[in-house]
Amino acid sequence: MIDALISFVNENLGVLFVIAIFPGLAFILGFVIFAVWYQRKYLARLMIRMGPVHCGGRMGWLQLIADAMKLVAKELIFPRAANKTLFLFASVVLPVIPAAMIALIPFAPGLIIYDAAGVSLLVFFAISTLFPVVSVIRGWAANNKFTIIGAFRNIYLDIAGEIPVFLASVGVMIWAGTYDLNEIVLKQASMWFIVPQFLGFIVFFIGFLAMIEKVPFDIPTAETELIYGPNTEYSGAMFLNMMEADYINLLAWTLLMITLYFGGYNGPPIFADPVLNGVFWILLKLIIAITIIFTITISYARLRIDQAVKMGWNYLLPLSILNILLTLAMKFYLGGV
Amino acid sequence: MNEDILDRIRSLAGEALVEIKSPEDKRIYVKVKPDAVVDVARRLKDELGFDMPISAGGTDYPKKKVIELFWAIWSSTINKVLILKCEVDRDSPSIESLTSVWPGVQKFERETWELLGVDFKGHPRLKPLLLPEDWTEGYPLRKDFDLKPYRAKWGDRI
Amino acid sequence: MTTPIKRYSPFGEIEEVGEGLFRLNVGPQHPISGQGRFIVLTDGERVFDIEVDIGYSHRGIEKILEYKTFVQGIVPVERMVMLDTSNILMGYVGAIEKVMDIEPPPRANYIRTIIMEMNRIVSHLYALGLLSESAAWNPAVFLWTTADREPFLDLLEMLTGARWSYSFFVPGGVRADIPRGFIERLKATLDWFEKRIEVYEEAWIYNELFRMRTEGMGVVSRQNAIEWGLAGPNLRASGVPYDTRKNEPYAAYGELDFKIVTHTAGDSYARGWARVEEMKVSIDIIRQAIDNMPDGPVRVRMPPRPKPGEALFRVETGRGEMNVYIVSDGKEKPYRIKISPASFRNFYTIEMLPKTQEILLADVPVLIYSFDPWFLDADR
Repeated sequence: MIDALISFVNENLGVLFVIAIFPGLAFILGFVIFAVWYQRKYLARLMIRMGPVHCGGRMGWLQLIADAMKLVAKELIFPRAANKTLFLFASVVLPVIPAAMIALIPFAPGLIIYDAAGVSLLVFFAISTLFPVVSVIRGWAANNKFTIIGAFRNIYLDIAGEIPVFLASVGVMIWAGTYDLNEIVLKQASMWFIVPQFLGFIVFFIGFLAMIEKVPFDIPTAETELIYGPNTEYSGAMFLNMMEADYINLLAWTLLMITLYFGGYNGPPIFADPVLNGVFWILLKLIIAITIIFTITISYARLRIDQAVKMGWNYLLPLSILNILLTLAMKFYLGGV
Repeated sequence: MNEDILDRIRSLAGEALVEIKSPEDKRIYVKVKPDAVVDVARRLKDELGFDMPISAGGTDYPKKKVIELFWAIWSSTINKVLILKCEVDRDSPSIESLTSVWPGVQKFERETWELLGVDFKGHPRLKPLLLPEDWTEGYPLRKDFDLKPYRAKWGDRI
Repeated sequence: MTTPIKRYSPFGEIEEVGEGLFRLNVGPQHPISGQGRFIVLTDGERVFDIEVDIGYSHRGIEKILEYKTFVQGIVPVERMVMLDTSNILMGYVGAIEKVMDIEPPPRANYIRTIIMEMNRIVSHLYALGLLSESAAWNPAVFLWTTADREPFLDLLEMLTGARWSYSFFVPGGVRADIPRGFIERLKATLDWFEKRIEVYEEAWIYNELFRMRTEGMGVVSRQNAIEWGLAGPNLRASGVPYDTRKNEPYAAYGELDFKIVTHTAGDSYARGWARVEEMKVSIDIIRQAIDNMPDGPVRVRMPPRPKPGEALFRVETGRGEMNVYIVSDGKEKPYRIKISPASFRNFYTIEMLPKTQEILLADVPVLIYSFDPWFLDADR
C-alpha cells in the first residue's frame, strides 16, 4: 500500500509539484495571504497610518496568519432561516472556481497545471461564468435581504462586465490566431499585445475591474449599503473562504490580463534573450499589477449599479466590437504575428 | 420695536390675539387662542412671509393648569423670528397640528406629543420618536414626572 | 401572499406604492448607521421611503437641565456633539446671557469666535471624511481629514486644556485668556491648512467618479429647503443665503467681514462643496479675529439669578442652526429649556427626499452623509 503510494508519488512528482506547490494550492494560498497583507500595508501608507505592526516583528507579516487562525477557531453560525446545505456548499465551492481558472495559466514554458489542448482561453471564460451562479446561491441560501440584493447585483455586474471582457479578448484571439494561452504567450516574445491591442486593453481593464469586484466596482459587496453583500451572513471559516474566493478571483483575472496583454512569462522585449526564469517575470508583473489595482481602489468612489451597467453596455460593448473590427483590418493589411 | 409688523399681526389675528410683544428687534412673541392657531398661522405665513420652522415645543405649568406650546418660525423675507404661542388645558391637552401649514414642524410636534403628552390633531404620524416604543411611564417633560424611581436606580446624579 | 406596502406621502396621507417591496433595517448595527436606524422601503434598488428612527441615545438633556443650576448645565449640554462642543455650548451660554441680561467683554467674544471657528473646521473635516467614505472612497479621505484635525485639536488643548468637551465658555465670558505663543502657532497652522484644502479640492472636489455619484442626486429645492426647515450648510447649498452668524450676529461675528457660502444646485455635491468653502471662510474669520482682537478682561460676573422671562437664542453650529428657547422663573435653575439642534431638522429632509425624487439604494448612504447627520445631537 505504502510502497504503491511512494512509487506513485515518484512517478508523478512533476504533476504533484505543479498541483500542490507551484502554481497550485500552496502558491494560491500564499498569494492570498501576501495580497491581503500587502493591501493592508500599502493602503495604510496611502492613508497616513501604519497597518498591522505587532504580529511577527515590525512589518506585521504574521498578522494574516493570526487572522486566519482566529477565523477558523470561531463558531460557524448558520442563520435560522437559511438553507444550511446550500449555504455551506456555496462557501466551500466558491474559492474553487477561480482556482480552477488559474490552472489554465502558463507560468513558464511547460509550467502549467492543466493544458486545455488549444482552447484554454475559452475554458477560462467558461469556468468564470460559474462564479455569479454560485454567488447567487450563497445570497439566496442565507435568506437575508442584504445578501439577496447583493447576489442580484452580482449578476447585473457580471453581465455588464464579462461580455466586454470576453469581446476584448476576442481581439487578442484574432490577432494571435489561437485560443491557446500558451501560444498567445509565445507569440508575444517580440511585442506585447498591449501595443496592437491598446483599445482592447482599455476595454478589458475596465471590465476586469468589474470582474474582480474591487472599488470602483465593488457594487455587490458594497459595504456602506449592503454590509458585505452576499457574504454578510458568513462567519468563521466560511467567511475566510469568501475572502479567499475574492482574492483568488483577483489573482486569476490579473494573471489572465498579464497573459493576454503583457507577455505572460516573457521578459520585456528589449531584453533579447531572457536572463531570468519565466516565473520571475510573471510574479514581478503580478505585484506591479496588484499595486496599480490597489491604488485604484483607494482613489475612486464606488459607481452605482445603474452607472456600471450603463458603462458596460453603452461604452465598453461598442468599443470592444470596434476593437474587433480594427483587429480584423490590421490583420488583413499587416498580416498579424 | 417692530410696531408696523405688530400692528399688522394685530389686525390679522383679530379677536384671537391674547398677547403680543417684541422685546428685541428680531423676535416677535404672539400668543393666540388655541382654537385659532391654524388660522392665524396660515395668515402669518401667507401674508407676512414667516415660512421656515426652526423650533417647536411646550412648557408645562402645573399651577396654572396649562401647557404653553410654542412654534418658532423664521421669515426668509424680513429675517425675523416669530414665536407663536398658545395655551392648552393641561388635563386633556389637544390642539390642531400645524403640519398642514409648516411641514417642517412635524418632528417637533411628534416630540412634544411624546414628551409632554399634547395631542396634535391631524398630525400624520404620532408615534414614539425618542422614547422606547413600549414606554408607559408618563410624559417626562411634565413637571410632575416622578424622578424618584430613576434616582433610586441611577443614583442622585439627576 | 403579498400585502400592499404603504408609505406616508409628503402631505401626511398614507399612500400605496406597490407590491413586492420590503423594508431594510439600516442600523442600529450597520456600517453607516451610527447610533440610529434608517428604515428603507425598497424593491431592491429603488428606494421609496426612508424613515429615520432616532432616540437610541436619548439622554433627556432637556429634563436634566431643569434640575441643574445654569452653570452646572454646561457639562451635559456640550456632550450633545463632541466634535462641535464649543458651538453647541455657545447656544446654551448665549441663551443664559440673554435671559440674565449680561454682555461678555469684547475680548471674550473674540476668543469665543476663534474657538468656534476652529471647531467648525474640525466638524466640517469630519463631515467631509464621512461623506467620502459613504461613497466608498475607501477610508483614504476619511483618514486624511482625521489626521488633519489633529493640529487644531492640539491648539484647542493648548488654549482650553482639553481636546474636546472643554467647558471653556461660561455665562459672562470665557474661563481664561489666550496663552503665550498660541497666536503664532495658530497662524502657522492656518497657513498649512490652506494648502491642505487645495489637496482636498484636487483629490475630491474634482474627482470624476465622486461627481458622478453626488451630482444631481438628492436635490432639495430652495422652496423645499425652507418649508422643511433645513439648516446649516445644507440650507445654503440649496441657495438660501441664511447664516445665523451674519443674519443674527452673536459673539464677534457682527464686527467681522465674511461671506455667506451659497450654491444653487442643492444636490449632495453642493452640500459637500459648501463645507469645503466654509472651511476657507472659517480661516478668513479666524485671521480677522486675531488681527482685530481688543485687550481687556475676558469674563464678567454673572448674577446669581435671572429675571423671570423668556429668550430664544440662535447659533450657527457646524451642522447648522441650533436654537435654545429658555424660560426662566427667576430661580437659579431654568424653568424650561428647549434645544432644537440642526440634525433634528435635517433628518426630516432626509425622510422627505425619497418621496419627491428617485433615489437608489446605493444613494442612501451618500444622501444621508451629505447632510452630515449626528444622532447624539438629534437625540439630546
